[in-house]
Amino acid sequence: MVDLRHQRDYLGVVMDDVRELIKKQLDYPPLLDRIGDNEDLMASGVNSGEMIRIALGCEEYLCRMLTDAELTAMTSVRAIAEVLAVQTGA
Amino acid sequence: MSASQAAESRPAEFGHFGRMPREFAHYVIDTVAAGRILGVEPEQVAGLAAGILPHARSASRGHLYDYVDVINLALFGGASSQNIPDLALRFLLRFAAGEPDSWFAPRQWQVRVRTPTSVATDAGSVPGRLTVCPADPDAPGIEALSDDYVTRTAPALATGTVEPPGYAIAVRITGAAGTVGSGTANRIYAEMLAALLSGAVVYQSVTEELRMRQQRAWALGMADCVVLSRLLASRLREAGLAARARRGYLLGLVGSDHSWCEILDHGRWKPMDLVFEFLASGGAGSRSIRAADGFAAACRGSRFNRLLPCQADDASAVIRLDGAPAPPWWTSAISATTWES
Repeated sequence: MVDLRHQRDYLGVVMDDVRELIKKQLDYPPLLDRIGDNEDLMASGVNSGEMIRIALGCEEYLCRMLTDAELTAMTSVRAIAEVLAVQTGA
Repeated sequence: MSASQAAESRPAEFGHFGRMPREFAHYVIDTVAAGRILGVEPEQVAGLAAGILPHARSASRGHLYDYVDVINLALFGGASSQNIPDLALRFLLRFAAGEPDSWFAPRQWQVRVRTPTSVATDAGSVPGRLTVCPADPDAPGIEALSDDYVTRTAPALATGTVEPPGYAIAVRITGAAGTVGSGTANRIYAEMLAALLSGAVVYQSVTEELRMRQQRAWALGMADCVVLSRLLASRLREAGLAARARRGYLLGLVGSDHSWCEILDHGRWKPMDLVFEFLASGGAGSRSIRAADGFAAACRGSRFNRLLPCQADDASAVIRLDGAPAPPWWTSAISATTWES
């Protein structure tokens, strides 16, 4: 599998930045290092409170409220990157 | 109930919420756990709660508070602007701002209900048999699906109680726009909504025991979704109408326990949701939600495509310990994602 963490991928956002945003919201940040870009965050151990904080962090990053569709889609690191990429115009 | 008890319980000016009457309260939350909920240091808790929250005193653990009182202080006292359950509900209700068609269109959900995996809590470890109530496959608009995800992770729609770690299901939920034809039902609903909007009754957290005594909660000036659904259903039945209180889940990436009333109208069970309309009508202040035109009206008779009812008679508790409602801090983690066919 190609590791895109240190590259600007096709979404136009730096996956490292997305991971950093997510890590800030975790009670145990190293957990994210064990979760792949496409893995389901909640199935991998991210809890409800942390998911809510991640959504808040995304809203802060985007400077707007997330839509219902965006909130429902935020299942993985890559899916969150896609939500953030919409704003950056990638 | 004495006058002093009533004064203790009725929503006070400071904090704008009602404290749990002592007979329904469980003073087991210490300052460490309370501090975590309130977003403050443990040593700040006693000062913050002084004169606001009743407490018990333990020689070994210090001041002990009721969990629901602490949650309400977090919601109303301004101690924390990031109360997770409240934020979760507001995120879940973002759908109200969308196009009305999106409220009703058939939607496929993969739903995971996880029970608390550990019984070790801040209030101590309590052994017992934990069960969660399964979804109701016969509810209107609900269709159980079988897909690879479900067969990989859990049995398809479970019947009977489910033990830890919980269950996973796939369902298609089809909403339906509707109205309630009964003038009596609409009048009773409007009276209860007016009490919420005027602040005569405060929408707040309530203990499970008090939820089951909905008239008492209402008289004390406090109600949550369970109190409202049970009281509305009982008032509709007293008026000669067929009605029932439902309890289940409001689905989303981080789902939530929710309760609503249903009335049998022209042969169809139609939801009436006082909480959704209250939050969409601006009565909840900063906790209000943005809603599209028509959403408030849709709360009276329409069925939304993200409410999954459980087999919980009269909105009884969906998570139980040795057959009795589990303590309020033992909540199931609900998560649901949608997928296309």
